[in-house]
Formats: sequence, C-alpha cells, structure tokens
Amino acid sequence: MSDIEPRLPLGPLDPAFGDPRYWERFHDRVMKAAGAELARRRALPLTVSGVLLSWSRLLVPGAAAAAVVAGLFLNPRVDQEDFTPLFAVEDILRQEATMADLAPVFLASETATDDMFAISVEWFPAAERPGVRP
Amino acid sequence: MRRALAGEAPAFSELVTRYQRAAYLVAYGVTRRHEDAEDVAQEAFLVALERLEECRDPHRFAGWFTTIVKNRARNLLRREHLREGEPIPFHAPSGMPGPERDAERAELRGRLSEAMAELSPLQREVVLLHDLEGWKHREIAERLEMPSGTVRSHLHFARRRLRDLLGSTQEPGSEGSKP
Repeated sequence: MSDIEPRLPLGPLDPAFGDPRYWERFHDRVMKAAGAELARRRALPLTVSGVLLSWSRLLVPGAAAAAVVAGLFLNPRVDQEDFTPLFAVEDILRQEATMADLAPVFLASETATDDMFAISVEWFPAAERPGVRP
Repeated sequence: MRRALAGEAPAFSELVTRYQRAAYLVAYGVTRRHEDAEDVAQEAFLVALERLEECRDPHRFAGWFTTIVKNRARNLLRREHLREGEPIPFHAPSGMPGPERDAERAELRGRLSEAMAELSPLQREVVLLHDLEGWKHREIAERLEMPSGTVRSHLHFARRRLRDLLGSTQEPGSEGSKP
C-alpha cells in the first residue's frame, strides 16, 4: 500500500529546516543537562554483584558457544544413528574385545538377532578395524 | 547502552544523536507545538538516562524510549489542558538568511502544521517517523508495538488526508526533506 506511495515532503516540520545547526545545539543542551547524571553514574562504586552481572552477560553466551564447539569435537559422530560399537571377528577371537565391550552390541536392540550381529561384524572394513595390527 | 549505563558520555551522546529527531517528532505528534516537543524530547533523554536500568534489552531501547517520550508529551498536554485545534506557534528559527525566505518558510511550516492538526495523534506519529525521520514500517511497528499492517494503514490514510488538505498545487518542503 504505502510502499509505492512517495514520501510526503514534510521537511518544514523539521526544526532544522533552514537552521542546519539546530540538532547540534539540541544535542549540546541535552548533554549539558545530562552531565550531572552521567557523572553520578561514573562515580558509582563497583559492587561485586554488579561486576559479576556485567561479566556474566559476556561469559554466559561465550561459555555456551564453547560448550557447543567442544561437544562437536568430542563427539564428532553425534549425528549418526548407529552408536553400536563394531568389532572384527579377529578381535573377538583374540579376546581383545571383552564381554563388557560386547554387551552393548547385544543389548543395542531387543529385536536384534544373531544374524544381524554377524552382519555387523563382517561388514566392518578391514582397513578400519579397531585394534588390528599391521 | 551498557556504556551509557556506566556514565560514559560518548555512549550517551551517540544515543542522543541517533534518537533526537525521532524523539522530537514523536513529541510533536502528540503536542503539535514546536516548543513543547522540544522540551519533551530533551526531558525524555534525561528521564531515560535516569531510568536506563529499567530497559532490560538494549535492542529494544528505541521502543522503550519512544514510550517515555509519548508519556511525557501526554502528561504535558494534561497539565497544560491543551485543546485539539489550538493554533500552533511555529517560529522561524533565527539565523535564516533573509526575511522573505523566513516568511516563506514560516508559511510552509504553518500550512503543514495546520494540516497535521487534522490527523489523529497516531497518524501524525506514523507519518512523521516514516516520511520525515525515515523509519521503516517494521521499525515503527516494533517501536510503537503495533502490527506492521496497522502502521501501513495509518500511513496511507495520513498521507491521503494531508494531500487532500494541502492540495495538489502545493509542494511543501521541496527543500530540506530527508528521505
């Protein structure tokens, strides 16, 4: 509606119309009148709670951002669905994977069958097998 | 705003520079008197500085400050029992070159002021902030806490009314009007 209408030339209602330094004088008057209050604020003693509050305004968002970044670094596979640890057959045979390690594999899904576990183990690429020594 | 809170004059100076014209225009929208609008705008800055702690969100300073200006202007009207339609003294500022030009500007200003008197306070506020101060619809809506569509509607009807009142032959303020 109003986007296509031209602005009305209301310049004469601006006190600076024909008096370009009007706002400069206005600004100076306000600053002069505010001088006492500004000085009072500068003289206010720093309280412990005030300092903590001012710090917290900066620290809280910073700490939250740092936590997010740290979380991404520490848990790079956070967006992957399968958290089930994979084991190569050799690991199991050599008993390098203990029962405690294997327990989550069996408990990962109530519907998981032995076949699915075997597929999971066999599918694991040789080059990426954990604990496989060259 | 936080630095102004700590009494840093340059920070407060920046706030004054940024909002002085808007403060005047909002006050003028209510009082329709140059002198009153000037006083209200100046006082509003001092009140805002004293109460700066009450503005929790620095991003909402403009809206918070605008409310202070409007309330001060309304209080002034109540105190002085000003009536709608009262003549508006708008003196030509000193320092303008030439008495003829002074007279011309005063006439332009007078005609615009009279036309403005025919608008509602809200229409005056919206059209002044948009067409003179250059605030966008969205900014006015946020700062006056009203839907953007309402701002557009007030602006549309205010402009139409002003054009009707001023007539198509007049080009008020062909100089000095800022986008």
